[in-house]
Parts: sequence; structure tokens; C-alpha cells
Amino acid sequence: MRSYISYIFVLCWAVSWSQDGFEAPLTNLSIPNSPAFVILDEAPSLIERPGTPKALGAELLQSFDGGTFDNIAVEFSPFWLSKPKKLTYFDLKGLTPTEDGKGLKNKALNPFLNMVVSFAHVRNQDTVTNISLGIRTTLLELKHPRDIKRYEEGYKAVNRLFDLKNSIQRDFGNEQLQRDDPQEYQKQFSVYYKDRLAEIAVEQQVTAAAILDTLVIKPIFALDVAAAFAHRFYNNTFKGSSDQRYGFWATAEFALPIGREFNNTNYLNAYAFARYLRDEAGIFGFNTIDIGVKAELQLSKIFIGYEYIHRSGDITDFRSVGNLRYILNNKIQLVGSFGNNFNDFNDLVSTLGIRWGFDSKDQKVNFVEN
Amino acid sequence: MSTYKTNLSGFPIQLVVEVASPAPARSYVEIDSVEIIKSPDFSGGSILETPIGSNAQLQSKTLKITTIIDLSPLTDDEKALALNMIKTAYTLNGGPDGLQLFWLLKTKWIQIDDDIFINKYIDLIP
Repeated sequence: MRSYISYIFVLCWAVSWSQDGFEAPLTNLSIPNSPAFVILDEAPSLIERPGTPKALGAELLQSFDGGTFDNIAVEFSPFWLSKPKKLTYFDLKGLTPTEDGKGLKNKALNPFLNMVVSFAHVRNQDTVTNISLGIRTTLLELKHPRDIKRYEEGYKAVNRLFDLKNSIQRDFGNEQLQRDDPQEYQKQFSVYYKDRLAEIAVEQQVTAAAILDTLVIKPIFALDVAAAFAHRFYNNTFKGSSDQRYGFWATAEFALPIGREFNNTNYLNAYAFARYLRDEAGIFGFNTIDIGVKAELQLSKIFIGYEYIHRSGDITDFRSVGNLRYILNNKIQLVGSFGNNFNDFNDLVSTLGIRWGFDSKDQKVNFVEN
Repeated sequence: MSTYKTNLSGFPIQLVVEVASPAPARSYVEIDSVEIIKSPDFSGGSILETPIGSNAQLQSKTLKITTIIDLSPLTDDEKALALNMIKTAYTLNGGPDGLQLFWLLKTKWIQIDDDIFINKYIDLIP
């Protein structure tokens, strides 16, 4: 019973937080997998890379072997909680205009843009509590030249629409009214503009579809790096025996589109993963290198994957886990996994979890007319 | 009322339009209602330093810069923040007073559904 009450409390808290605390938000593109979970091998998938992170995310994991959301991670993106100065539409896509201004090309990502910092609380045994801190960012994203062309075409369609809107404003005229009485101009122009919206609508549908479709194009190659630190407490005592674990890792993703349709959202994703891990658990401490691969089928909002990680060094072990992820909406994802984790005991992975993503509060820009 | 001083020299006046927007944008420049420049396809509405005419040619004329921003590719949540992140700034240089920076009060922006029209007028006075 206590479990269900706790669950309901957490759910209500999360929902109320999302409704009240972040009422003027920025939505980014994905809800990430917390590095603070990955360091403890408690994430549903250790090999995963999200797109642009949300401003604030929470991840709650429920093991089927008991406890109620003992595993909680909260993470935030410093970039979106700061005050971005000059963010353009292309920056979000990792693109930049070519030197002649006639096209677009891949752009080195600002590591700060995709950086996430996460904190996690994990109780993986009744008497062991882990507190961890993680950080991750994307170093590199490469889009296929053909996808960049598609993006350019989508953006040119938007420009054609701008030209049409500008011509409607020019047709309306009344510039003197705008300078003398801006409010009256706005009132009259709004009526005129909406009257001519039908004219725009024909092209707008095509344009909106074109530009929105470009949003889902994944890079063909991306490289993430991450590092995390975890402190382990025993018997729920702060001053009692404790030890720590830390590591750093890199995740590379190759995304192969299934079909070349303009609005393709289906991919076959292949990942490579390498991690250095040091655990200082007294005589059980170890240094290891984890090398892993993952294959994942992405069918729009459903991700079905399998990952295998080989551990070598002071310990030889492996992790073999199947993953399932479903994007319920742009704020909530359901995740689950089942398989064999590292260790010789307590090595069953059977996890069901929820990831929430929250958006940042709005940020004020003061304008002064000169 | 924004003004920029000109003289009778043949020295060119340079214009820079700077648009920072997480939504697509395009800018248009008119002199006395005649369009002379539009922002390049992939500049996001910005226009690099561009000569718009000599002091003598532009004297007593009105410069109008229109920036149109389309929020429709953004999600509802993104739109809310985008409105606070959008910035436009206009720089004129080459007149007797040298470089001058202009902005438009946000209250004078015109928003019609997902479209934002930012119209800045600058009188090029003698």
C-alpha cells in the first residue's frame, strides 16, 4: 500500500510541477537518458543518445522486484536555463550558412547547447543508497548532404511564404497611419491580413509541412561524451561506511533511415559505446573498460533495441539487455528493459520507468527604442 | 521617431540588420516604399553590412526595414519563449554622425497568429 501511495504522490507532484512551475516554457526536442543513472548501470539502456535536451527532466524507474520509484533522476540543461543570447533556427539544427550564403552546411556544435547535468538517487539494495552526479554533451553531429538539401528546400519554401506575406503588407500600404497611430494600423492591418489568409493558406500548408518534416531528420552520425560520479552510502548512515564510483564514456550513433521519404521517422540505429569505470568499494573495488554495441529499430515513436556490453579489466563480465521505449507525447516517455546486468548476483534487469521533460521558464529581453 | 543625419556627400551609407530568432525570419529594406534589399535565403533575417546609397541620394528619404518572423514551425511551448528571445537591431553608418544603433519597441511589433511583423522606420534627415 505504501508503494502505491508513494507512486500517486510522485505522479501528482510531477503533474502539478509541470502545470504550475513551468508555465512559459521552451520545449526542446527530447527527454534524455540520465548519465547519473548510467554510471550506476541502473538506466534502462546504457547505450542511448538523445537529441537536444529539455530544460529540465525527471526520470523515475521502477524495478519489478520491489520498492517504489527508489530510482529517481533529475536533470537540467544549463543552456536553456541560462539566457541564450543569439540563438538562431539553424543553431538548433547544428547547421550554418555556407560562405556564399547560398546553402547550408554542418556546423560544429556548441557543447554547451546540448549539455545536461543530472542528479540521481538510486537504492539498489535495501541498505545501499547511491547519490550520483553526471554530465553529458554532444560533441559532433553530421547530417547527410542529401538531408541538408532537403532542409534547404524546406527553408526556401518558408522564404517564399515570407515574400508573399511582405507583399500583402505592401498592398495594404497605410504607412503614414502606422507611424502616426500604430495601434489603429495594427487593428486595420490584422483584419486585412486575415482576409487574405486564404491566399496564403494554399502555400502555407505546403510550407509548414516542408519545414516541419525537416525537424525529424536525424544526423547520420553523432558522438556524445559523458562523465559521472556516484557516492554510495550503506545502512542509511551519512557518516558510516561509504565509497564511490566514477567513470567517463563516449557513445556514437549511426542512424540509417528506413526509406528516403521526406517525412521519414523510421530508422535503424546502431550504437557503439566505450566507458572507463572505477569503483572504490573497498576490497571489491575495480577498474574496468566497458565496450558495447546496440542495435535499435525506431518506428516513429516506438524504439525496440538490444544492447550488449562486455566488461574487461579487473573484472570480466557482460550486460545483455533488451529495451523498449515509447514516446507518449513530447513531455513523457515510457521506458522498459529486461535482461542480464553486470555482477554475479542481483543482476536481473527488469525495469519500467517514466521520463518526464519540463521546459524552461520564459526569459525577458528588454527592448529600448532608439 | 528615429532619424539619421545625412549630408550631401557621395559617401555611402551602410546598413546592418541583425535578427536573432529561434524561428525562421526574413527582412526587407525599402527606401521611400521601393524595395532595395531582402535578406539572403539562409541568413535568418539578418543582412550583413550593405551600402544602401550615398548620403546625397538618401537625404530626406525614409528607410523602412521590415522583418517578418514565422513561429509556426515551433511548438506551442517554444513559441512562448521565442517571443522573448527574438531580437532585432539596425545599424547605420557613413553619415556625419557615424555609427548609430536603432531598435524598435516590442510593443510596436504586430503579431497576427503565428506571424510577427516588425516595421522600423528611420528618417534620413539633412
